[in-house]
Parts: sequence; structure tokens; C-alpha cells
Amino acid sequence: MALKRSDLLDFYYRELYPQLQELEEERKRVARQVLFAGTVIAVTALWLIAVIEQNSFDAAVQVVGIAVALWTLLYGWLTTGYRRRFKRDIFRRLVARIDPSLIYSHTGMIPRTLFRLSGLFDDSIDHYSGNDLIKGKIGETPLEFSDLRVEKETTDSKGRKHRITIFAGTFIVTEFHKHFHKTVKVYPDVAEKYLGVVGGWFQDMANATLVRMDSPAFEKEFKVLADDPVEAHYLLTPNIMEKLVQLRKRVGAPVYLSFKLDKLFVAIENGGEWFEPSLFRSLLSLDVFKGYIENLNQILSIVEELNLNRRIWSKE
Amino acid sequence: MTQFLIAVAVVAVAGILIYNTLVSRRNQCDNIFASIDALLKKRYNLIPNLVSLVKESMEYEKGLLEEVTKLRAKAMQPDLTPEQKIAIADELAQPLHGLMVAVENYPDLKASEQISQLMRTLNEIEEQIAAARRAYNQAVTDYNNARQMFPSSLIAGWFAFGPKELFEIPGAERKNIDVKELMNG
Repeated sequence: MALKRSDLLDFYYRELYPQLQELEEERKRVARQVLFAGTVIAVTALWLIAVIEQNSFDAAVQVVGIAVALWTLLYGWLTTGYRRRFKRDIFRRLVARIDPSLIYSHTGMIPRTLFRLSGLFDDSIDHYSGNDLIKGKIGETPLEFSDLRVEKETTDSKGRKHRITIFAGTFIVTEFHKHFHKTVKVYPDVAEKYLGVVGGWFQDMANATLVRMDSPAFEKEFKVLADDPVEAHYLLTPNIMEKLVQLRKRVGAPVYLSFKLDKLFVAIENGGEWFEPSLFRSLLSLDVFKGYIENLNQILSIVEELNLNRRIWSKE
Repeated sequence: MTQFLIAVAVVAVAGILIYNTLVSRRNQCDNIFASIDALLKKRYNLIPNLVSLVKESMEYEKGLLEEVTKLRAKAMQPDLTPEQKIAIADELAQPLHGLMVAVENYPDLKASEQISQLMRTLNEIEEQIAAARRAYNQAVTDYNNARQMFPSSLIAGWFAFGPKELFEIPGAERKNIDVKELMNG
């Protein structure tokens, strides 16, 4: 992270801009195709709903379901080449420029075992996919992250299958610098944020292992589940709690953490679109480019922000 | 009549729930206090080791070493009340931190693998003690809140759930340690 913002802008104008211009032409073409396909599907679906004899709600739902599935399929198919080129020609070079020691793989992802190990989310996984794996070391601390989409299937009363998203976003695995023996998990606190004190009571009743922390700002955003309250306070120092509140505000998405088996897992539920190329906004816009850098910085700076390189404890 | 019985049952169930919450919160405080006690013992066990390793080289800090050893002996006495344990731990914190800072001024000591490992472990324990105190204060706040808030205050009154004291974070821990002052003292 030694690069300055001005260096990156220089890199953008000198090295990336010519390629971005080429890719911008492709983006426009793909966007036109996607819009055309979307319009055709939407008009056809509306027409079908209008002409269905029974005019039944169920049939309409089915048509919409098929239209959405078809649209998803077509969207993926039409944009694959464009996305791949963006990742290969632009994003990979940007990552290498920010930190040459980082290894980037467009098709790689955090393995399912690590996702499961975090213990943060529902374990009944039916579909597990991801991309944009970045791996490396920040100072002494190993770090890897990728976008993930994790889903499960449920069947409703009419026998229709639905996919439910368990997690969609950026999943980060790093090493924590202190010894600990039990598990500490940090979740976004929906109850206390919106229900205040009453929400806090409900939490107390529902979770025997809920640990109250000594930072009101942190308690407002997060809730902590831990086997041992002392260890929870040991890992979540006042400084780390403050940084986590700041991180939550900066990323503007729910943040989950799990301290388990020497590792720190951070899950940012941002939909997993942080590193995807824009389709309906110009690639040449500087804001779009800055967005990618900002998002990469958010993740890489976690190591520094949480002081993970600080090794004054007995753990080597 | 039935309505009256239902009302009584609801009140009884609520009363039991509140009573159990109060008990679990009080136990939580006691459990965390036990962790503090265990951590303090761990700290005391390391002190003789540290003193014997550094005393040869530390000519000028004899007073500091003696104070640490004396307070450690005081802390190891049996039958101390919780308040006394904490008071001695607080008293010991300042000279112990002073000693840890002083080690940094001796290149020979700093270079020793054994000492640096010991310092890391001590740092770790110091931070664990600080964390345990924070956890204890939070648990006591939760317990005292439950004791004072209506309607749990009624149950707390009937069953004599006494108040618990928060730990003072000693002033010496808050301000930065002045090594010179410690050396002269």
C-alpha cells in the first residue's frame, strides 16, 4: 500500500486509459445487446400474461419466473467476454500496481471449507460460487479474499424451488495476532439499532452467549456472541471496536467477523459487485476507477487498521 | 376466577424469569472475577522469573525490583479479600510497568531471547487483565441495571441482590509512565 493516490492516477491515464477506451466500445455494444434482450423478454412476458386465458395469478407468476431466469441466463452469456477482458486487462494490472506481491485469480475463490469454518452463516449450502481471489501478505500478515455467492434451496408449499442467498459479498480470511482459544463472532445488530433498549432485551433472552461490550457506539452497530466474555473483550479492544464502527460506516454494508482457530474472518455483505465492471456507466469515468481503488483499499487496510501486524504478544 | 388464575400464573412466570436473569448476571460477574484472579496469579508466577533474569544487569533499578518482589509476596498471601487482591494488583501495576520499560534501556537484556519471550507473555497477560476488568465492569453494569430497573428492582429487593462495585481504572494506568520518576522513587 505504498502507492500514493497521485501515482495511481498517473498509472490510470498513462497505462490503463488506452485499453479502457477499447473496452469502452465493447461495453457500449454489450449494454445495447443487454437492453435489447431485456426489452424483448419483458414485452414477451407482458404479452403472455395478457393473453393467458385463465388470467390466473399462478400462471403470471410462472411467466415472470421464466422471464427472470431467461434474463439472468442471457445477461450472463452476453457479458461474460466483456467481464473477462476487464478483469484480465484492467483489474489484474490494477491489483499488481497497488501491491506487486498480491496474486490475483479471476476464477479463484475462498474455499468452501474456510467459509464454513468461520461459523458465521447457515451451513446448509447448496450453491457455492465466487471469483476475484486476491492473496498475499500485508507486512507479516497473510490475507486472502474473494467475492462469494452462497445459496441454499428451499421448496415452498406448492413444490416450487427457490434459491435463498446465505451470503453475497466479499469474504476475507486473515490471521489474528493474539492467542485465543475460543470463538468470538461479531454480527450486525439489527435489533438494537432499530429497537434500542427493548431490542437489547430481546437479544438477551434469545442468546445465552451474547456478550455486551463496553462501547455504546459499537453496541449500536454490532452484537457479539462468544463462549467467554473475557476473551471477547481481549480480542475486541476499545481501539478495534472503534475501527470496526468506522469500517461499517465506510463500506455502507453489513459487516460480520469471526475469530476462530487463530484466524480472523471478515465478511462484507456488499452483494459481491465491488470488482465487477460497470455496464451502464462509462468505464472512462474517473469515479468508476476510483471506486475500484477505494474498495480494494477498504479491504487491504483492514490489516493496518486492526493493527494485525503488531507482534508484541507471545504469538510469533 | 380463571382470569385471576391466569394473571397470577403470568406474574409468577415473569417473576421466575426475572429472578433467573438476576442470578445469571450475578454469576456472570463472579465468573469474570474468577478469570481476573486466575490472570493475576499467572502474572505473579512470571515475576520471580523476570526478577532473577534481570537483577544482575539492573544495578540502578534495585529499588524497583525490591518493590515488585515485595508486592508480589504480599499478593501471594492466602485469605485475601477480592478488594485486597485488586488493590495489591493495582499497586503492583505501576512498578511492574516501570520494570518492563526499564528493560528496554538495556541492550543486553533486550537481546536475550528468554527475556523477550517473557516480556511478550507479560504484555499479553497485562492486556488480558485489562480486558477482563472491562468485561467485569460491563457485567457489573448489566447486573446493577437489572437490580435498579423496574420491575426487576422489586425481585432484587425481595431476594436481597446486593449492589456490586465497578473497578476503578487506577490513575497510574491512565497516564503514561514516567520512567525517571519511577527510577528515583
